[in-house]
Amino acid sequence: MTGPHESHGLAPERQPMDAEFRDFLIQHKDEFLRIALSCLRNLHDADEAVTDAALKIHNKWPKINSLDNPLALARKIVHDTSVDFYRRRARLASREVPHPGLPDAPTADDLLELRGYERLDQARAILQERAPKQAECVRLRYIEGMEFTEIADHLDITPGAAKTNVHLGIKALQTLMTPPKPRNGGDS
Amino acid sequence: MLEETLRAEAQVLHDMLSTHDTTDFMNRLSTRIEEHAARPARVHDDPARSTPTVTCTPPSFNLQRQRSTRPHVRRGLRRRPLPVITRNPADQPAATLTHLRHLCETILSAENAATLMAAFDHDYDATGACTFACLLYILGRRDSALYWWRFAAGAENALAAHVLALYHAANGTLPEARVWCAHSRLLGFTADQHLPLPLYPARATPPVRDIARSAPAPTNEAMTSFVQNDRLPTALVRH
Repeated sequence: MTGPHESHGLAPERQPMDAEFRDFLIQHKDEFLRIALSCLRNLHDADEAVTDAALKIHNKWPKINSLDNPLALARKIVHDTSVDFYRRRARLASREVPHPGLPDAPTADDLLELRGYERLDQARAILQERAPKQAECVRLRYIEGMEFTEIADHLDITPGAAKTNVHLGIKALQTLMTPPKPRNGGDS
Repeated sequence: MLEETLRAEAQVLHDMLSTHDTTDFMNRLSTRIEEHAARPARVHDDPARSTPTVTCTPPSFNLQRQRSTRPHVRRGLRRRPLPVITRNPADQPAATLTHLRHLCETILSAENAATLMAAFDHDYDATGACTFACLLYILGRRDSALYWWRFAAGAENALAAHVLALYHAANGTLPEARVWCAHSRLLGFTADQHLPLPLYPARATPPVRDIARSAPAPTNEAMTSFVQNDRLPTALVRH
């Protein structure tokens, strides 16, 4: 494959990854993977989604790094990339090449496990759309295991607001996950 | 109860991540970054225009500063800043729905489409059911199409599972897309084995415009009700 670096006949120089970007990614890689795993429930798919997101972040790193809260934008990029993952995969399916040695295909038990997450994930998706701050507070509290003061620092809110958002978010999720009660027939 | 579920999920994620190799991940990312950097840029500057060159102009040619023909616009409005990162339009729901429709049209235009439809007429063959569902989808019978795709996927048709994953991904139901994607992998879906080949080379022959009219249709009376009615028969609706 020819590229702009090969016009003078030399091999392309290996551009080292920006040290600050590298440190940023290593520091937050696990959190990014947890965001992707919450959407995709498959470690290999999550790895691919986070790699795609990291590439986007790398391409705009100077601008992202200049923001007050680069981590917030990075999280959003990872989340959006995870949400778009299946659409992208479907679009590029025709370019996939079978490769031996890939991880085993899922089993029926894996499918049942995925079905078990459906109600919770649908409720979280609805909460993310209607009240993103509550959804984020719930995620940071229970999935990332943060204290309220840490959540407050991350989201630039007060610890009291973090506590309130977590409480409201849990209540909202419980409501969304509770199936509607069947109506009784009227008295005849 | 819900808090316990969320904490249990956190533990599951922690266990999954314990097997993830950071060094390998960073090495693979470095490779991707290098490959991306080696790609030619989408928009090139014309080298001839970017560098100043001496050109011979005819003596009768006078360089005149061209006036803009645009009307002068008062700049009083504040512009919204451009987003740092934009999402790929090709990955958005509308593009995916177009891709799904194109896939259905390709399946219906395949040489063996009539054979598959006849097999479906005869004994509800799974591959024929997938083809029939594609016809229903093109005709706008979405619920019926979903029913027969699920029927075909349940009968271990990998293409039907893939189409369902595509449909749910396009309509934003991520948990459903996830399950059908896993289902298609369980059934061994691969593009080269299951995706239909396009009948025409790119841009050589235009596709049939009204595919719904030219596609083979089942002759089974029971199936024509799916084609003619907007909604799924009541007995088949899930409660």
